[in-house]
Amino acid sequence: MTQENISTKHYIKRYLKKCITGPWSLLCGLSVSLKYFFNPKKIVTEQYPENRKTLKMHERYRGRLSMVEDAEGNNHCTACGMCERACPNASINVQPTKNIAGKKVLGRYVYHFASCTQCGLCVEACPFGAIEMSTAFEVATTDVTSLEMILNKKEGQG
Amino acid sequence: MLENLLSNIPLTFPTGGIDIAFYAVAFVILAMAVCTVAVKNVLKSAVFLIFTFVGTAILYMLLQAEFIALAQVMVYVGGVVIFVVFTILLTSHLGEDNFSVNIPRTFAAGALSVAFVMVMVKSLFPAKELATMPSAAPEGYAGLKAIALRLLDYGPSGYIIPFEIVSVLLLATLISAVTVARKEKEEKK
Amino acid sequence: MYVPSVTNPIGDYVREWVPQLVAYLPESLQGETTCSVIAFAINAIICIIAVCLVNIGSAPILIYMERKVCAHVQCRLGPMRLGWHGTIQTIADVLKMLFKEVYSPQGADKKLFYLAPLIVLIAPFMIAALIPFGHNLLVANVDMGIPLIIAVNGFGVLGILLGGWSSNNKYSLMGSLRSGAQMISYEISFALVLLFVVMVSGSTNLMEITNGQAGTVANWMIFKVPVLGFLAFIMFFIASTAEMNRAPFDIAEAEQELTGGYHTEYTGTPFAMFYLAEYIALVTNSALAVTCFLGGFHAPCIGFESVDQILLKVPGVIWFFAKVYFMIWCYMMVRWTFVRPRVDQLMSFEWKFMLPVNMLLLVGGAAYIALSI
Repeated sequence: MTQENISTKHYIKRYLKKCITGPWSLLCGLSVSLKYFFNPKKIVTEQYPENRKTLKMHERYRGRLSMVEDAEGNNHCTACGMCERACPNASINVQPTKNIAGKKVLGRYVYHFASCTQCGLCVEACPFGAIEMSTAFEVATTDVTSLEMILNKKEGQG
Repeated sequence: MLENLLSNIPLTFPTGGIDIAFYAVAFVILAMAVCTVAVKNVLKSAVFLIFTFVGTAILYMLLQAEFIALAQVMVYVGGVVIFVVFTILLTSHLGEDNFSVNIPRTFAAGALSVAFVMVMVKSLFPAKELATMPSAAPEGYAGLKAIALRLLDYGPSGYIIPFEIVSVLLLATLISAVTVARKEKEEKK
Repeated sequence: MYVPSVTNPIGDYVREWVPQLVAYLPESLQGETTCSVIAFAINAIICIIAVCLVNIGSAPILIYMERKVCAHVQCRLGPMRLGWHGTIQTIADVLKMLFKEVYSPQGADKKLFYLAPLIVLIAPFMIAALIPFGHNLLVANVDMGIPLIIAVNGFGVLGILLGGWSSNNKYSLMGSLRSGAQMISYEISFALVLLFVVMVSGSTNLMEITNGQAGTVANWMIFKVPVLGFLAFIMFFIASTAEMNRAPFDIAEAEQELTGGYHTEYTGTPFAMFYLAEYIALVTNSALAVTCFLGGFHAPCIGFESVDQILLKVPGVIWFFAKVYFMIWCYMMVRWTFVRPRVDQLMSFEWKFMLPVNMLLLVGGAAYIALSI
């Protein structure tokens, strides 16, 4: 330990200052924990299996990847493949096809959930806002093949 | 000589609960004291020493000297033995090597202790009042209040001057401890 | 023949009907001595059972309370599954702990290893016997209550030191040495604050100290001596937290650096005993704080006749335990709010802050007494 070279006067001054600032900072900390203790609304934990029916997941939760669809099941995907390139562990496989007009549109949006880490880079990369991280979290399964899913219900409209 | 001594021993054999308790506690103290010396592990002998001190405190308790009993526990168990245990834990390599005791030294120690017991017996037993003396102080005589009043009394039965001298001695010890601790720091500079 | 007697109303009651019981014995055994011996034995057993009930019974409640308080401070709910709001959880945990195998590590000193938890339990049990829980609820009305408490506290350090060494584990030894140094240092402040209480109340008997605080709230030690009383209470709070090895002064355990300190190697019942000692110490220290500073079993009368009438109808035991649990709650809030200081900070806090302040407190108390006479 290094010895500080300070005068006695300075030392006493610092000591007395600490005698006041120290308890004050402790009181500040105590007030925070008292606020939490007496305010049950601050509690963030969920009683999960019991409140399964009423449980609402937080908006920013990143669950399984899903496609943004309107009521008829149309999506905004143009099969540009940006998400596929953004994915760090190749969980997305965009397979384009041609529509009647000969334009490149989305054929199948294959999503390998088993290797997905829910990092959300694909959502950030998508220029059209066609995909999102859903709040589904009960995703455990006993069937491996069910982890490989096709996200789009319809072919892309482009 | 031995017969002479035995006939001098006042016959105070257990007649009540206090007497039985005294003999039981005395036996425990003796056993623990022997264990303290005989056990090879230093820490274990410190533990036995604690039991000896606690036994002594109980003896004081039986003599109605509560404050002395508490002071015994406070000073010896709470202070001295804790420091002994501390130093043992900090310094020695326990369990690696026990002390070796050579036989001549054991004999010398035995002879010394026997001589000590002889002196004690010789000086205690001629006192004829030993059998008739009250076995305990009157209640409150050795209590906190009585001790405090006698300790701070100015009169002929008071002990104010020794008390003050002891306090000065303690202060001197405290200051010298601080100076010893401070010297090292200055040398470093 | 002298037979010690237990002096409390329950003891008197027992002494009253013991002669009727003795009448059934054969003629040769009857007499004063038999009566007093039997009465003493019965009273002693009642006292032991009472102390054990108060101590051991409060441990599961405290563990449950600690978990709940901790959870709510940290925005959680704590145990919720077993029973209503998880009330049976601690009982299940205690049962689990009791059924675990008692196991000592290789190279451990077996005798000392199993002796240590017993020594740790001495102090809290003895202190619990001295505390007046109600007007008549007191096991031992000892004249030198406070010196006895200070004396007995030393055993706690001893148990921790022995337990740490006999585990044959570097972490345990480290933890026990740290806690030994800590407890010896804070014992001084602890004793000095109690000395302040003794000085102001003029007695070392806990019952007399409590009765000296009868009347309104203004008579409680914490308010009786202006400013100094409150300061002494805070000092007692800090010193007793350190004495109990509770956070923020849990240098001895320090899970993050010492993997649990002196009880790293303990399992099953011996570990449960260390745990029990810690929680009983929490009860006894809170009870001591209540007895010395918060008026003991006296109701918090304000001075208005109508309110006081209602307050006085509640029995003293309930007031006592209400105050004790409030104190325990305070200890818990402190534990889950503050961070642990380093070893050197802890020591300099004791020797450079607590000790001078306590000395000044003593001087201030003397001045207060001199002025008030």
